[in-house]
Amino acid sequence: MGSVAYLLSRKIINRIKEAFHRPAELILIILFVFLMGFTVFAGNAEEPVTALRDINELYAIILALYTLIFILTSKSGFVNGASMFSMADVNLIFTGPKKQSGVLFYGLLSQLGRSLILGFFILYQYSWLHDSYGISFGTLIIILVGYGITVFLSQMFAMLIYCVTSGSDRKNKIFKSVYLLVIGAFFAYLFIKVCLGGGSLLKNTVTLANSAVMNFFPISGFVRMGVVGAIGKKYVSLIISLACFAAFCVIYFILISVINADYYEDVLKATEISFSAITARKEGKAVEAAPRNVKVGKTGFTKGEGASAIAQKHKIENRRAKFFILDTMGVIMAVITIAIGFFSKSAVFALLFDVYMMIFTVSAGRWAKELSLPYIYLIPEPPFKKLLYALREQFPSLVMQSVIIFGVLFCLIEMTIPEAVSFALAKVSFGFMFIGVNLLISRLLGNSESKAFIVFVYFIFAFIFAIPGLAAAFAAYSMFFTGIWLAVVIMSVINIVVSMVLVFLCRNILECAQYNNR
Amino acid sequence: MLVVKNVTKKYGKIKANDNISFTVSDGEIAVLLGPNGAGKSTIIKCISGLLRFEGEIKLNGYANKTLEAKRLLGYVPEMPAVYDMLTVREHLEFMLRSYKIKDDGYADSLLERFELFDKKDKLGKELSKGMQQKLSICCALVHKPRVVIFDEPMVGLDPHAIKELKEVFRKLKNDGASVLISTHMLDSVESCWDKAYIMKGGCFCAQTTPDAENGKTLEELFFEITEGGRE
Repeated sequence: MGSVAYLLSRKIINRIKEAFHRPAELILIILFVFLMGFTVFAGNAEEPVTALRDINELYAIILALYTLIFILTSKSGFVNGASMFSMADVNLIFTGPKKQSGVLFYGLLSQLGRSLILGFFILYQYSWLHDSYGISFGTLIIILVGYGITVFLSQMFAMLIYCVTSGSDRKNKIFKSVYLLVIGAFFAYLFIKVCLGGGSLLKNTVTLANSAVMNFFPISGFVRMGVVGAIGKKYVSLIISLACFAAFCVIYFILISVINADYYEDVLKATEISFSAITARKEGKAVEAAPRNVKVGKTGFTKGEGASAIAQKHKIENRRAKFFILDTMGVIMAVITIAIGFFSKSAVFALLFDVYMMIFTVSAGRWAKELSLPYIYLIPEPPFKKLLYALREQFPSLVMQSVIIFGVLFCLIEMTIPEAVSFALAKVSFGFMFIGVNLLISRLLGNSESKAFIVFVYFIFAFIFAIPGLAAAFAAYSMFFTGIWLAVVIMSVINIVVSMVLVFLCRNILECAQYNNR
Repeated sequence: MLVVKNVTKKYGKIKANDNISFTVSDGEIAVLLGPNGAGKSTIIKCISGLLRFEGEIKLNGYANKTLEAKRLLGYVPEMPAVYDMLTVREHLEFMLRSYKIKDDGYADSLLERFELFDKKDKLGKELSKGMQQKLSICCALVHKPRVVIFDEPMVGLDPHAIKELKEVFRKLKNDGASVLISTHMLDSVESCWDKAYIMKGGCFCAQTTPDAENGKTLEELFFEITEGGRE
């Protein structure tokens, strides 16, 4: 067996063995498998009660998802590339007697595996996709494979951009301008066709997304064409898509291996950045997602004393990181939620999706980073006061995101004003509650327990603390039948009370680092 | 033998290394000294084939990026990074396979030397930073390289490992290997260096040998050259 085959096989075998040595990890895997099985079973259990929706809507959603992944991934090529190698690869394989083309192939193969694992969230969408579009689990697997291929090709594209532009600021600017121009032209074309075409916006969007011209959008277009071909048994589309895939890979290999045969330097920086981030995460340290060129701007603190200095510090950090109320992730999540509400014509569904995603994204605030550094514990102020100031940065972005999502959905789909306001309030209330649950988990388990166990307990707690609000909403809706908005308002109020109780219970978390096992 | 000839490395307009030339002969230990940001790690990455550069680097007559040269090279990086999902012993097994070398027991002797043998079945992710550094050193040496580059090898090592590493330096020298060590822990190489290259601002500001310095310690030399203005 060759060294690379040995490396890949040992990694897989040891990962499986490792899962059996860590009960928490095993439980989490079983839970995920169980949930997936439950989703499939529940989805298949009852036949759709309403007529199926137009399958072309699903194809449009697939294109939107793949395009979003392509844009987000490929643009990293202008900053630091997207490394498909680990630091151990750099230290042990790059310096070894291996041809660079062989090493590149190993990197691509590893990346493909990681891409597919990342896309597992798609499988949990089975229930509603089956209910709305009547798709089978096999079809969902095809969508997942398409997702994996999109991530894979987009990372290759990002690396290509980085290899070509990293050595020269001028080249970087030119390529970035062309890239933005192409993307901008694409969206301008979409906007004109959809908004100025007359008739229903949804219908225009779906028609346009399924038009032949969309199949030629880089990567996401031809991957979607292949996925649609495989689902609809349109073999010509599938063959054209596979040909595009093969052509892309061949052109890529030629460009990387011949034009720029020595690509090690190009991936080194991206790998080092990713290694530092992974190491920091393992050690429970803060990772700052700052832009490459930080504009320092005005220096010094003009306000803030004692605990309020924390909030002031967050303001300065956000300004330098170019976060203005909403960060990049916040904007992306808002766009996805609006798209889901628009396509499903359901604000309830948009809210459900958004709440689900907030479980993962809410811990990305600066307050979570503060817990991993020593300074906040050392400030001579009451811990509860420090905690409130540390959390303050989170509130404007939560409120702003809620207003944007449900404001836009109010304009796009049928929704009353009380519904829009109550749904926005519900999103904010769940955001508060998840912050409270995060604090509680941090206070109880800190940083020293198994990460898998922490995630497992976090899910359980998030579910438990959501029960009072959901139960009250259900009771109110059953009793009054006055429309969903009243039930949602009652749920939101209870969520906010629960989150306040949770924050109060954790009021001493900043008294000393030991309280959250730092 | 390691030959570095007129090597310049630029990042955009900034020169990290400016026209650097030096040699490390067979059976010789050279130390690379300099303040932070002097360009030591950059030249080491150039030699290891990780960076592009202008100029020429040869290992026993082979250009450093050829497979022949890579077979001769051992590299201990500044940041020890190991595979999370490979055991300690599997790391060495992987290296032996990479270099197409049969295991003659040297891998286990290295593990014993650096007190890793009893941890041979531990995964990379279970190792402390110090142990990762020891494993990184073992990986760099297991294929018996003829040119060995150490970038801050002492960081995180316990006294026993430091003692063993010094012994390794001496053994490599006696076996005729060319050794280049970049370090800030000057006393750790005090007893074994043959040449010292002192860098500042991407260039060599001095190079010397123990004989030329009449018993001065590396620390005295370092401060004399970097802060005292000696050319």
